[in-house]
Amino acid sequence: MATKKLNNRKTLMAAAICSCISLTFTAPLSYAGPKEQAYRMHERLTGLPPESELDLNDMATRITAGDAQDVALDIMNGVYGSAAQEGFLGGTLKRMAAPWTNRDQDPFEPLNDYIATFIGVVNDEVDYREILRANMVYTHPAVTTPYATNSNAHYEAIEAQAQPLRDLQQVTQSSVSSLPAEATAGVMTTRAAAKAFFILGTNRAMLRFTLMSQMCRDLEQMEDPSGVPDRIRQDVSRSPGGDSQLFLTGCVGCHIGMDPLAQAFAYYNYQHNPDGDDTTDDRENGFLMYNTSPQPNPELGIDTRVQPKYHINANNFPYGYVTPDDQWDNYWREGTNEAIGWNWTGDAPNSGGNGAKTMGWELANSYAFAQCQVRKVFKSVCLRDPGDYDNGTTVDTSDSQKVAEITDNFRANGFNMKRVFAETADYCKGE
Amino acid sequence: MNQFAQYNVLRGLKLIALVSLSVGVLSGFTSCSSDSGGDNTQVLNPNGNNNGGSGGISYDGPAAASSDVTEFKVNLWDNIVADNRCGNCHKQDGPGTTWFVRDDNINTAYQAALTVVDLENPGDSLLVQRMASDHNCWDVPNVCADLMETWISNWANATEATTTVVTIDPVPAVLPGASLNFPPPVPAAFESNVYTPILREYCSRCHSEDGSERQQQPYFASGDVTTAYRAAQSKIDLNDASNSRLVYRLAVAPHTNCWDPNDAGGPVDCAANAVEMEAGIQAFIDSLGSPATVDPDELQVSGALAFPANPSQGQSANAAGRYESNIIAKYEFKQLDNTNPDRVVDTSGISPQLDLTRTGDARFVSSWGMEFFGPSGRAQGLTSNSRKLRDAISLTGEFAVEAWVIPANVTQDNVRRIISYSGGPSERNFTLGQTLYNYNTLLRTDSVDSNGNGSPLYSTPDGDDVLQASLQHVVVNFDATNGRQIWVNGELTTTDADVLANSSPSNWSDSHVLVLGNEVGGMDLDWKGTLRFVAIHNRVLTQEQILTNFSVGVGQKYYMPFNISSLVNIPEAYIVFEVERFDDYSYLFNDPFFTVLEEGVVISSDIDIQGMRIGINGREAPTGQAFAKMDVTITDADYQAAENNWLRLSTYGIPVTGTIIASEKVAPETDEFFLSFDRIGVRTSSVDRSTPDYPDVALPVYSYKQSEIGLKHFYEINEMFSSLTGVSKDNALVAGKFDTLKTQLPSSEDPVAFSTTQQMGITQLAAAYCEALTASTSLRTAFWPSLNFGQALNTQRNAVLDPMLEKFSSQTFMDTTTLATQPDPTDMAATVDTLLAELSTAANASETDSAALAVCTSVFASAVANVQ
Repeated sequence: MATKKLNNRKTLMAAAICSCISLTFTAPLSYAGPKEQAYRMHERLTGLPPESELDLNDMATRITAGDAQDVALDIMNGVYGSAAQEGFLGGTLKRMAAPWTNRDQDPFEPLNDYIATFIGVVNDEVDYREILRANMVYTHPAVTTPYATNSNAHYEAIEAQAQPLRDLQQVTQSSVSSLPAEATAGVMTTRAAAKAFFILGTNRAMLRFTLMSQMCRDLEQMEDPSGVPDRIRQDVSRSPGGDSQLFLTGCVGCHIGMDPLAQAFAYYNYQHNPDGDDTTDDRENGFLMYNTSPQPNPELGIDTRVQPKYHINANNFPYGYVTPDDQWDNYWREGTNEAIGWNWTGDAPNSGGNGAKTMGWELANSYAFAQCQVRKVFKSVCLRDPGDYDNGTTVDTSDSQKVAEITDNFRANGFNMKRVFAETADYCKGE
Repeated sequence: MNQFAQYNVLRGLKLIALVSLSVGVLSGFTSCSSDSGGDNTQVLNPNGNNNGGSGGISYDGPAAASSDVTEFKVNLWDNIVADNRCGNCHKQDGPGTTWFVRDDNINTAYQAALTVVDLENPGDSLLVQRMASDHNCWDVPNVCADLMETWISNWANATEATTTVVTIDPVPAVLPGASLNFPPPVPAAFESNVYTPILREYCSRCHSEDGSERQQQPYFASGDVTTAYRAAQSKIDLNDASNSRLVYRLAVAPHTNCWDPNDAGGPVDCAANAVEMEAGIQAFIDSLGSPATVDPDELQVSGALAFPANPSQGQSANAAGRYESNIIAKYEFKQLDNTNPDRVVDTSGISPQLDLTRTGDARFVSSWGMEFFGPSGRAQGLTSNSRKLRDAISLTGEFAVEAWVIPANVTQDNVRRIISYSGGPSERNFTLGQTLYNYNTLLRTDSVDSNGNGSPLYSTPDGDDVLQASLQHVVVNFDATNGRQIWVNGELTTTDADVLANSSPSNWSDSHVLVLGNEVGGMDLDWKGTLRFVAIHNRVLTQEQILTNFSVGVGQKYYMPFNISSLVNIPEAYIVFEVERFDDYSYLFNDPFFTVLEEGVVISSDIDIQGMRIGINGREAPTGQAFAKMDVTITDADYQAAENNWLRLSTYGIPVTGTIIASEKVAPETDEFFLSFDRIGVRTSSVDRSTPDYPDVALPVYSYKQSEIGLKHFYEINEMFSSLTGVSKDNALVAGKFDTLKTQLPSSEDPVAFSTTQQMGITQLAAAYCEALTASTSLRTAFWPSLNFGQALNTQRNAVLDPMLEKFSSQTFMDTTTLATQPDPTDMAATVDTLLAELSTAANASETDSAALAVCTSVFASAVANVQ
């Protein structure tokens, strides 16, 4: 026990002095030779220092030779040790993705199928756009607890057993769940995402949190009241608390674009016992449900594939939109959100379609989506948000130029996220 | 005849619901003030209203010849026969021109009354108009007129043969009035007066795509002035600079980002900022010159017409048929009494009139309603008049409280009083209240389960979120069979049995008063929200009656016919909207339909209608254009098939039927509206609707250099501690500790976010790892290979220090490598050495492991280990 070896006085003393060891450096931080650069690249990609002087010197030599990005790729690929590779996969990537998978944006979220799929897509160098479209999920072949649609046990076992994440394998969602292949849409239809964003509510949360995590935009950046509000559902009060100014100057700006896009999720629901509270197993053991055929809707008096949650609180504004199907339209292609750079790749659908798969593809082919991945990697590797520096007389645009360059390269390299990490690590390795 | 006046059927315009009573037109009344009387003693209908208008007069003439005569007698005659109302002049042989309250023959009175009422549109009745013009009114004219309309409506609604006839009146095609508009290119005056000195200067940290604090739409402070100009347009009111949202957010609803008006680093001053903003906007507006009218060659527009200032100027679109047969008190919040602005008139027509008095934080709203917005707000009646509720309900043993309610929020609790018939916070006959998402009721009955405070509470079900902060129709029924029931928007929300079933409200107190929005006297139980309508019935409302009243809705609705004759080359062609004041800030435009006010018209060629927008005061409304994507083709077949030739555009599957448009003028002024079309018939607008280019997605611009270093986060810290000490993460001493502490460790690399809590978390985790390290002979030997644990620590300082320096300092790979970006080893060694010197145990050979543990903890928990 600690009391045997370390009494309270010593503990306090240790605590008191720990902050006294201040940071002084032998050179300015902006200065870095190839060894310092190698050390920084390794530490920021993996969270760990290089394993040996041999590795460090090898990396430094290659950096001097102009191969910094290849060094970074080798670090991520385990050439400089499996610990470094696992540090990248289980530390850097998991830390990045965990907040995307819950409403509180909690980075301490346990491993789940959303996080694992992100890790797998990056590690396997899959076209990252598929993260919002593909019929895929990553599981671990060495874990005997199987993937389940109503449990996260498989992923908790991966962590509990400290299984190497480099061994994650891609399987189809439709093979491990009841989802038909056409209803799959990458991480949006993972169990973790469904549990977080299809639970209760109106399914708008799935769009909002996907925008935040994959487009680097919350609704406040998408707000545009000048659009056409003809797809805003009935449940949105046009006069909240009796004040329609709130709607006309606030709510409408987001719902104009959000509601017709979130219509893509009209057939999905996270099925659980709604009478359970947050701490019961009701929510924990729910599952993603998808209506493949019309179901009776007592409120409407018809059979429809649309989930009842799309028609709740209809009397808030009975003259509003009644969702008939899962046809989505991207109203944000017009107005100020034209700046998103829709269909930057030329591969996007024609601003409309049916279901989450095509809607995810619409998002994933925008410039903002690609740039967002670069920005997230930049923050993870450079430990700061990219941004230009205005000293009052001149503006240093290095960051924005580099982000634009890496974003262009992201497209040119088939949306390979590992290359983004490599290029970013190169940029932030120091001079 | 104004533009909304009743249009003569004989001129060939349409009747929409075609069954009507024959209604004549009377030349008028003559003024009368002399006494007249009657000596009637026989009661025609023992169930007639106790209305106070009969003045004790009862009828003993011939029996009613028909049921309609009976309804006339019960609903109208009884209310106005008294001498202090109409009886003084309009009985037989009285000086009045028409003897519609004669008491010698009810059938003759009925025939006379038909000449002075309009049962199709009771508001247009001559009796109502005469009351409104203060013809011997027994109250203020508006109250008399309203009551008269109510009585006539009740008669009309009770008569099976009567169905409301709705007509659409022709409206001449008048061009929209002149207005100021935003010129397409960015005006220099906008840039020089608003953008550069104010928006870009003070708002760009947030309201710009390159904002350093955040990127908050609208980007009216964008680095690109064209983007800023477009974004600012919806925030600037060209009619009134002070009404601009840009000013409002500084002056009335200030957020936290005001600035020092002197730019001297002093305190912020939102009021001064608002003045500066308004002045800048006004200077911009002044530069725009004179208002201009719409160019009909550029924009295809309908005729324009004003929203009616009052019901007499408009074409009512209210559905008839509210069920009110057993109403005993009714409040429509019309602010009828212009001599007493605080008077809330009981328009039930049932005496005594239970008027309420508005006090404190309550106000009338223009859409007919009363908003309660603060602790002192309420509308309260008198005890004496409130007694009629107890008396009428005691007779029947049942009642219904009906209201159109808009809760301000879903956060108020503790049974906030919406409608209460009570004597104080703990004494009541009845209360309708709010607790979060629930409606609550309290009720006194003779049940042993009930008490003087109306307990037990009976509410809408928890978890169903029945109560919403939007307009809702609420009915609370009580009768002995079912106890209480709460109906919301036509649906029964309560299913649990009420313990007060099989009891009676016969024990109600006669000293309580009716109060809205608060408890009697105001007792910290104030409710925040708006009441649009309140009625109390002394019978329950059946499901059918509830649905009827719910479907009728609340407030005054008008048909607004927009003339499109010249656009489609069909005389008297219109697109008609149902329009109402939605609240103080907007209008509801709903259910548009196409019609032609000529009978037998054939639509000879299809009419395409694309991109319909609503214009207000000379320009298209900037927000709410829900019909802008509309694309329909009107065919003759559809038109002929449409009921009454009202071809509703919803027939074509347009996504929504209604939208709201922000109002611009404050009552009694009214806004003028028109419609515009991208395409209608063969006419096409030349306005460019294409989306302009916007700057590419931008990154923030910072005015400071960002840090090049960052913290290690929780995962990295744990991995590093494990890796460098050799202690497994699964070690019993550390695994549980990490699980316990991880949320206390840094979750992001941002050094600005570092806190003392995180420091303590790191320290505790470091202590756990170092304890596990020193407890293991093999691990500590591997970590400190030169350290002799049987010898005092302060005699072998290098043996302690060197492994630390190797792991954390610039001498990480000390054999041949130094790293300039790692901590200075000399400084680090000196600090740790000082620590060793201060540790008394360091001189004691038996406590070397303890001293090593302390040194280890201090180094692992320090910045040298946890900053990258």
